[in-house]
Amino acid sequence: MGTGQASQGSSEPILSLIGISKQFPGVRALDGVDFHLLPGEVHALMGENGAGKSTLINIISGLLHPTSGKICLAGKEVFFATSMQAQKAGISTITQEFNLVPQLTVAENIFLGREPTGRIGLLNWREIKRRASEILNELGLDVPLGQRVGYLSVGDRQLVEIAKALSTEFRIITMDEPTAALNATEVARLFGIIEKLKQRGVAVLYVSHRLGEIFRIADRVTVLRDGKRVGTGAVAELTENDVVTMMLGRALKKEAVIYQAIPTAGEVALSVKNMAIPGFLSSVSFDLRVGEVMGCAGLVGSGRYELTRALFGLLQISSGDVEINGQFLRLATPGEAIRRGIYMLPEERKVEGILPDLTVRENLLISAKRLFQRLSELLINAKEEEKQYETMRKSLDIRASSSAQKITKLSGGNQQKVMLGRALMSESRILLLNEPTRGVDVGTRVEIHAVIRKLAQNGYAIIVSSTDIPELVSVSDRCLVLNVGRMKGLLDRAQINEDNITALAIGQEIRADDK
Amino acid sequence: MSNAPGLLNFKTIFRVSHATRIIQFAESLGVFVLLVIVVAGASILAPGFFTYTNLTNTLITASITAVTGLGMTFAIAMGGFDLSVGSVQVLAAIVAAGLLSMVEPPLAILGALLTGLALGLLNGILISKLGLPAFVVTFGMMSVVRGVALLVTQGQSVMITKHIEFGLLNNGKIFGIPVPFITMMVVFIVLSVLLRDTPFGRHACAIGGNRAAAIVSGINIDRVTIAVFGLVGVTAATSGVMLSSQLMIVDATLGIGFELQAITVSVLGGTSLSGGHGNLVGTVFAALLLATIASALNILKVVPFYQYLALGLLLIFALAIDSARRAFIARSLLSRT
Repeated sequence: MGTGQASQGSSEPILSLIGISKQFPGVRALDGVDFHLLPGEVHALMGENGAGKSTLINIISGLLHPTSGKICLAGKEVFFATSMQAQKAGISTITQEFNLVPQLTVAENIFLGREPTGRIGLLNWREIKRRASEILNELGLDVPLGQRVGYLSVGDRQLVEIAKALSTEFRIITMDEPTAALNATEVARLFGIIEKLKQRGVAVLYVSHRLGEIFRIADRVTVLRDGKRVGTGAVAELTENDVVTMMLGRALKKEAVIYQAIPTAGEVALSVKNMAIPGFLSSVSFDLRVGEVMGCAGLVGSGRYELTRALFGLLQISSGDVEINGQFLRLATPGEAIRRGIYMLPEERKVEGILPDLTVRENLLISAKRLFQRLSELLINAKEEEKQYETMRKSLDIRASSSAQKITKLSGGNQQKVMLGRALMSESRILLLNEPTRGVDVGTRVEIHAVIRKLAQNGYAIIVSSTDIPELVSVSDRCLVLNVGRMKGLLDRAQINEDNITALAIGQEIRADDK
Repeated sequence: MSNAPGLLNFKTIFRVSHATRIIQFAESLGVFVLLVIVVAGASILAPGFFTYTNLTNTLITASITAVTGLGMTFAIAMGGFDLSVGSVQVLAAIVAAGLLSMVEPPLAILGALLTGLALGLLNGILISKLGLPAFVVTFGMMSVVRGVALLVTQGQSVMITKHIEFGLLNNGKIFGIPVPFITMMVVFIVLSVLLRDTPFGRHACAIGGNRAAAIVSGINIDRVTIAVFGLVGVTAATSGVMLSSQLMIVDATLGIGFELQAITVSVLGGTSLSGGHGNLVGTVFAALLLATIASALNILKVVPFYQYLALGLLLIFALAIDSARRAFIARSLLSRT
């Protein structure tokens, strides 16, 4: 698939960036970057967090203006003052954050701002429905047009976002981490769509941290590091190692060694018996032991999302027993869960994780136990906090310019480390980690996986709930697989591999010789 | 790149807290500059503005607004606001005046403050336990409390005849500084410490900045909400006590539109209605600005109706600045996310 016809010599670049630089106060985000996008090619843009990928995409989509350099569209120099102008020029953008209105229906969202109207300016509902269902059919998205977007799964919402782009005429589409929230089936569906776009001659600029995807879908790849272009090459002529080396500026330590068997299974930290949440989960039972990492896999709608939320007191369970450190408990709020020694890392950092107005230090320590328990400590002890911040910064290698920096100024990977640090500062020994490496670069991903394994060794009991199956294979001692609200399997280490997890997740049995 | 070189490389705690303070001060600098200009303008244009008596009176008016404005800033930082402060202020003023005929002044003041606390807690309980929006609850309470004030006074004025020394709360001076200003400074210092140096204040800002994340962090949203509204109630009642000592005769029609003033000084002082942070210094400067404008317009014998106009325009102006600032921040953040 990698060798598309796109790179045939005849085609002129549809979009050229020449010597683009972008200066922010104190940071040079892009430094003289040249970049050419050909019609009908899938061009991957890679780099660690903070390498300048987002800045480049924002410049192309008109959200930011370059400090110097020029942008040429089909050979003509252009300047986009606003993102609207870029859209009019045929550049469509799919961002990580969805620009959808949850209260409106699927069809209304697709045509938002460009509603087809009749002669006297009333909405032409028949036209809206016809065209919307055409687009959805093409995408293979099977949701009612009248469904409110707020009720859709993340994966379906993403496809609505793409449908919105498809309803316009465009020659260039940028996709920023489009698969971050998708399961395997949805990813396959998305790649099918990208293939179709290619055939129509659309140029696709594809940003992803997932190397495997790049090698499945992209024709060419450009790697950025510290705001500079390190290189551009045909994917067919590169290996994964080449790309990683370009991104990091050095070779990556092998990922495979991360898993090491635990010497002895500890005591049961968390015991779940016949847990049920109406509409989401039924008869889930397992024991989580001190010193083990239990993976949790499952497609959207499998109940995976609800499982950790229920254990953290965000969802109420209707029946079943939860035993924490030997005590039967019904947790009503996250506050109570934290007091009982359970902490949950939320799946979406931006939605439920970061506190945007607070500093790195305040974000790190917001769940620190003493902030809740010791009434005697009425005032915050800044020195003590600084010390704790410093310890955590060192042990997780958080890169911030100071503890008083606003959390929103950190790169995604560093924000995620702060979130992980927050979980540790809560002094909870049972950690429920949802998507611990979502939107994080390869280097940080390896670091976080190493931290998870080390925590288990140090006596934590950990559940890693993830859509990223290689991640589960890499860190889990056992792996729970959910399928439509039921436990489809609980794999032990010898059985854990991508094929088995995927098979169970989509509801198949695994082969007898594997069991 | 996350390791921003140069500008942001503060390493020690001292420098860090220093830096945040400078940024905070710069944010309130806008309203401070405006205040200086208006004071200078009023001194030149309005003869009699820059006199000891008038300046003292302006300071007292500003202090009364600022006390409630400071409480309001706290609520706005948490992502809420309180429309009932005008009614709570007047009921507290009436309670203080009424109790003075029966008990010693300290008890009367305590009674008034407890009234404010109770009403504020009620606001907070209705908001958090019934899950109602702050707008609806406090808008309703604004009318309910006004009704109670009218009922207990039967529409009559209450005059303070016993314990005339109660008036010292208004016209007394300590080391030449008017007592209302000292009251305001005490409230300012207490709230500053609460907002910046206690878990309570940090939790309030967390809720205002990202409610969902605050819940997941284990913060007890209900408890913080109730406490913050209780706090606003107490500050409104404090303003009420100050008002009754200023007038020595109170009735249930006082304090109409006071909520608008309180919200205006918060927003004008640099506290964003979107929540997440509160600028208490700015609130104090903005209250001084508002009182100066009112005083100057009075001296210039401008029809008082224009004061409403000025207040409304200031609020809209402040909101416009706030939204421009937010747009700027959003743009500058695009690079790192």
